[in-house]
Amino acid sequence: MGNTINITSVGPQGATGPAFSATAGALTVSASTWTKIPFSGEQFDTNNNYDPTTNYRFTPTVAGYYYFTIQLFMSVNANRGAVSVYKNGVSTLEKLDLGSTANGGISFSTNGLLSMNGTTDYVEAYVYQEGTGTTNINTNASLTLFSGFLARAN
Amino acid sequence: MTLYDKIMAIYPSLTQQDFFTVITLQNDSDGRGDYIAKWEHPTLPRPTEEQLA
Repeated sequence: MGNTINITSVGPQGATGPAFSATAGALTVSASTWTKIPFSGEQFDTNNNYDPTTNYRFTPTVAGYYYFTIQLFMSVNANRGAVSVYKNGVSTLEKLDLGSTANGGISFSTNGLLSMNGTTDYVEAYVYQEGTGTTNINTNASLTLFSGFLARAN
Repeated sequence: MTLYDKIMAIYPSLTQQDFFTVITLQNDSDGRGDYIAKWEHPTLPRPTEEQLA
């Protein structure tokens, strides 16, 4: 009785950190060629860290662990398709799935956490397909997206 | 004809798995087009610019 307990409310770390979401411009993907997806339409970019015009890359200015997601819809007429988050030019979060042409194609996606240094580290989105020719990605904003947010600051 | 098509015309024995492991073709959507980012095939030499022209 008489003791004082101080309780400090702590919100989710990163709740106010950088976040972005972008939609894709038109892209034709050659067979067996990792191709950067021109995510040129910003839905939001809370810290002005996403470049939607030149390099289509996210370079966060706050260090920490970021959760990234690529979702992409395309028709692949044989074999596999893939999307990958490239960190500093290297494929880092890569996921393959079997392609399909039925009902317009299939959705490919990848996601995961990456450590970003808050200065020079950047991420970009790439797509790959093993069809017998070129294919176009679907640019519908609800089908093809690239997003990320700070999950935990350093 | 894409870079992939040109390479397949030179080396028809290449497989899709080769392009996912020992060969990397890339396009950075910067207007420069497709290019060979990695060629580590154990027996077939990297095609020359003349062959790909």
